Amino acid sequence: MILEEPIKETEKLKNYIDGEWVDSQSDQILDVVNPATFKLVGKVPISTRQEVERAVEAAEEAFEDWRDTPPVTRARYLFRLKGLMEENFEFLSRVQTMEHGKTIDESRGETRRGIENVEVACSIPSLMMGYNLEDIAVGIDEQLIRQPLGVFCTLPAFNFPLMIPLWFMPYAVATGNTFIIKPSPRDPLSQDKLCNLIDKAGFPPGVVNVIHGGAEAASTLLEHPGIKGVTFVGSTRVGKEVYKRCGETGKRVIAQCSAKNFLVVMEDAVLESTIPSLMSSFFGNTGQRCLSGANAIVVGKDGFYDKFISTFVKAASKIRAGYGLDESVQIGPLQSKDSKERVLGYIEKGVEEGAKLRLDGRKIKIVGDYPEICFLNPTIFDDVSPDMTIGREEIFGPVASIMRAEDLDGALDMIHGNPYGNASCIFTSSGKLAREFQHRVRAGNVGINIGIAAPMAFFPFGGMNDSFFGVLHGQGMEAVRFFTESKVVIQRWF
Amino acid sequence: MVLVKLNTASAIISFTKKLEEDSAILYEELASLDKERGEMLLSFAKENRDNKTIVERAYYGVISDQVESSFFGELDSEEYGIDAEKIPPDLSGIMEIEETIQRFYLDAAKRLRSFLPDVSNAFKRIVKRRRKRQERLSEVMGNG
Repeated sequence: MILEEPIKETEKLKNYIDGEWVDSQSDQILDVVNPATFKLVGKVPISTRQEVERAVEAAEEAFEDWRDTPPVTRARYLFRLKGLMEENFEFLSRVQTMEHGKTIDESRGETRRGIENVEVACSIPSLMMGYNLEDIAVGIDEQLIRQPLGVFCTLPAFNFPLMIPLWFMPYAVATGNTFIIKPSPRDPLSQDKLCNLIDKAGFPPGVVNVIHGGAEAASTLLEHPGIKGVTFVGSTRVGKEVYKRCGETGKRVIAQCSAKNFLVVMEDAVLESTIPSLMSSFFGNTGQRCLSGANAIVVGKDGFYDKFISTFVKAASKIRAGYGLDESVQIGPLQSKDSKERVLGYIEKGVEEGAKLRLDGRKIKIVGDYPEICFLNPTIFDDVSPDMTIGREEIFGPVASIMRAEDLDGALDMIHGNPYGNASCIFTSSGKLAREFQHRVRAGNVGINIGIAAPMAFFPFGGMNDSFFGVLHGQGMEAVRFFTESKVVIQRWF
Repeated sequence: MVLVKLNTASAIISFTKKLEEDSAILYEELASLDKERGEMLLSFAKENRDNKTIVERAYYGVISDQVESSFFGELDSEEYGIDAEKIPPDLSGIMEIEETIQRFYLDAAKRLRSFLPDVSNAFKRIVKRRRKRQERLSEVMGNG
């Protein structure tokens, strides 16, 4: 069944500043295109420096009252937002599919994960508590209290247009800060729709602001002295720059960056369950996920290796690609024509460098009558070495590289030879090997018989090495600590 | 009936909802023809709509980008659907339909067990409810 599209008419998006929907004065307007149908679904302004500065001013003004609003009252705004998101669950999910291309199951999964962060932030009266000790010396007490800092902003990536800002925003405002979201201009509609709900939830003007824009808007936010901290999700190249500039201006920063995730398949893995998990990991979200599998390291004898390859290729070749609103579709298109070009470049490089192409996704096969422009079917390379370009760099598409290692030590050497450390997974029936892997692997999110090691909202979203810059991570208690500063009070009374 | 491959969680949930709605309509029609058992048949129709809610809550509550919601194999809708044209205007064919629907829920529960266990468990709960319904139907048919 093909589900109904929720967006019928193309609209030009507005900024949301100080509780008002404001037309941008910019003459630079970008098209937002549905990557499956290649039809226009929206127009997004690239806001000017002045407009960004106005958003910061509004957030600064709102901070004074908001920080004095009791946490329990702040939580109630989030309760209302959660309710509105549940009521609009299907709408929000279908909008994601329309602007990003992911399948409807994937979009609903994204919506649910976004809501879970709002839910966790609703418990802020408990999460934000400090601690105290009576009589640190006779008649003297000491306590730690957590306080908000001011205005924070987020610069999210395009691959999860609804969820990524929700790793941060609920915690930021729950702790008493005010917030600015600058959505990716590639798929800004989800944040526009979310902002409608934020408006309906009745947050005071200026507490949450949405400003559309590109690199200049991001740069303005990074430089602005009124911004106390930045959260960023995107490439390592840009993430390093964000980290550096935040350091120079004394801002707090969470920069979640690129990845090249290794999945180790041991000979004792239960292939029947492992293969669906790998399909989801390598090809789900069309490979555009920082937790996606990129390299599969197979540990085992020739017989196992051959069996693994044939089962893996057979399963991948059956995956149905098409428009994500068609419920029979298992992977959608890449998010843009440029994304596809980039991935095609990597496939060509893989062939040039001598990897064996076992499944060529360039032979496009899609369900339904849609333009092939952004589509790419699952692609699998065998005989890949970690030093090949496709074995080393983040591809961000439905491309799997298969490697071999003699044992777990060899697999770990390969993993640790790569500069990234976002996620790594092992598939095995051995508790001993799983424990050893968990203990030794240098990755921020570890999966054991799990292909996508995505932490729930009440755990931090990890990341190591070149995949993360900062100290504290998004989600859960670490986010609460990121968005607050600790103040210690020592008191005695005469 | 159009054959639909049920190869994603979304497709299974949509099919389940249609199955329960079709089932509810069937019981409502039967109730209009059988005044003596009308109350019981209408309670089954209500239960069908409750089942829809149970399934929706289970699915929307646990769907996540982490689960393999699209990669667990496939079922053919043709094997399980209710064909309105074949529905007899009395209770005689209803037991067979109930068997088919239960078979769908059990097959789907098995497929989803490792990937969406909450939905799998919800399906099993619905099978239990439907078995109880079958017992009541047997009783009234035996007595009737």
